[in-house]
Amino acid sequence: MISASSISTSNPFVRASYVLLFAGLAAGILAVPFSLRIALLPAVVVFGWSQIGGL
Amino acid sequence: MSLLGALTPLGKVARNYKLWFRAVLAYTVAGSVSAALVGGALGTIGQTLRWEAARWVALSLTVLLSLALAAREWEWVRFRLPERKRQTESFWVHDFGFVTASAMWGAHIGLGFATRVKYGGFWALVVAILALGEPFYGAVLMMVYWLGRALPVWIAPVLFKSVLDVGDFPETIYRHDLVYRRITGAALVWSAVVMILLAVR
Repeated sequence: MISASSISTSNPFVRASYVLLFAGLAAGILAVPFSLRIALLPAVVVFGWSQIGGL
Repeated sequence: MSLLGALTPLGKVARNYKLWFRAVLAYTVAGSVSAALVGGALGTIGQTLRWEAARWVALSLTVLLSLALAAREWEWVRFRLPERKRQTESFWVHDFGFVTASAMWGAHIGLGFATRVKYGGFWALVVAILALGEPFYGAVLMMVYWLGRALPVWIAPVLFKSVLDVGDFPETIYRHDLVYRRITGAALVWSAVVMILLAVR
């Protein structure tokens, strides 16, 4: 699914995509004890971001 | 019509930063309004369906859909997503200028349903808003989705370090389709986890 070789790319959008994903997942996990509604938001940001591949 | 392709050269090649900023801001604000309206409407529809006792069933179906969509993005299963096979109108820029056209593009694309939907995250979001049945939270979710969608337009001039990069950048993005599928799949699994927690609480 997600391998180290796929992350080690020179493409800035690919790197930004993985940074967004992992930062988002971390933020979502940290938000779980406080609010599940907030914990869902990082996934939604990733849904929106990934649409650049379908423009 | 690639908004990245239309707007990034304004700031990167033409170095017309003021016009670029106004166009991207108009795009983002107009899209936020239309996305919030659609999210609020979906939340209202969910509310009128009055899940109540069957709420956990609705949330469970959302979880199953999210996991099925994740499997699709990771190419474990194959099925087509419902979508309108059209993009927004490129000629608006000739008729209305960059700033007004950008606002019109944002309002059009922000509707979500009006243009192509390549990855499954959008449909998981729609079903989640219907299942939760909360108009305000639905509006917030759809607006956050839109802000995630507008984010690449804001940061593209920073990510592309040279003017030369901008020239071939549609290909730079499109050839990494698999990356966008992978991250969507991971986000779908996370959204399924959150929906499970919402269902059991």
